[in-house]
Amino acid sequence: MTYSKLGQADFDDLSAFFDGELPPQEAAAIEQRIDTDPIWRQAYEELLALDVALGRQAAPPSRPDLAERIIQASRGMKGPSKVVPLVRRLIPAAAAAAAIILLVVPFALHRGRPDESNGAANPTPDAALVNTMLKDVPQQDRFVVENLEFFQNYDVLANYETIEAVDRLEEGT
Amino acid sequence: MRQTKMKRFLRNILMIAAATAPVASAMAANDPAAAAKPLRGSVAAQLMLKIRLQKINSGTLTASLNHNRVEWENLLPEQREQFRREAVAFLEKNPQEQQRLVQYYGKFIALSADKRKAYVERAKWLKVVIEGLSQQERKDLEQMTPEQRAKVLLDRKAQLLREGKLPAEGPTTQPAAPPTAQP
Repeated sequence: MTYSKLGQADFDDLSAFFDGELPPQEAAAIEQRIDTDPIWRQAYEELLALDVALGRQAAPPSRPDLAERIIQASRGMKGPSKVVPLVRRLIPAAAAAAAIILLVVPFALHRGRPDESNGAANPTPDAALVNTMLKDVPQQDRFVVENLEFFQNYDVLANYETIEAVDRLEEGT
Repeated sequence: MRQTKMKRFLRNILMIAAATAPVASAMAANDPAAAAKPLRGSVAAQLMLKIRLQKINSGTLTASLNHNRVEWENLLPEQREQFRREAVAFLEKNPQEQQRLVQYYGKFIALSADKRKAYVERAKWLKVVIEGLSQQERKDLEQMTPEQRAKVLLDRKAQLLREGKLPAEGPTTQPAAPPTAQP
């Protein structure tokens, strides 16, 4: 989920934007970030899908009035101040507590979870090459197979300083 | 308004759950195979990506992957399990230690083939010698400089060779019996 890559403050802003609670200049700034930043764009689309899934029909602030709000912002017109009531401040803490309970879900789903460490979810060209060439290797072994020389020599690496010193003594250097 | 707060609450839950899912997965992994992969964005993942990029730059990534795949297929199940355990051991180390091991790997692969072979042979007898030490002796070794440690271990190796507890080295290994190993 891309929205997990946003910081808590950014996520709160995006969330408030969705609920139409931001003053115009802040809403305009959020819209600009959505337009220009791929992570924000993706997070926006994911939250939009989430809101639809949750049954929310109200769309986020509409785009046609963006120009007007930017003009308002540039003229220094202040919209309603951003209110952060106590309940809203407590929401992340309560959500964190609930998320601890949700940790059991990844436990249960772990074995069937697609591997992301090799870039399967968003493959770069090199990750795609690795995945193609190791397609017959189970996902959970691909890291070991790709780095097989590293792990074949792990005993050497784990004692490298000592082996170097032994080498110096044996070679008389 | 209440509905809005509820949706924000749900969004927060999903966000935190998404962020913690990889950690939970790693915690959930009881078997080496499931745990033997770095979390995306971790230092280990970055270090391994660096190695991958080096192979791409040198044009050896495809050949290396092919070679490793064939070799993996020919390994015994217990050998595969050993490498999975080593991968887990590597991933469980702190980032500084992971970085150090990758640096050593860079130095190791830059050695000549003969030198690499000699290092591998030394790692074999070192393992036997260290396994024969008490916990206290191992702790003492950790406090020493590499040179002091090497001297102690060479002495112990000579002792085990005399007692027949360590097989004599073959002709392809480093021949020198160190002066420090003499009684």
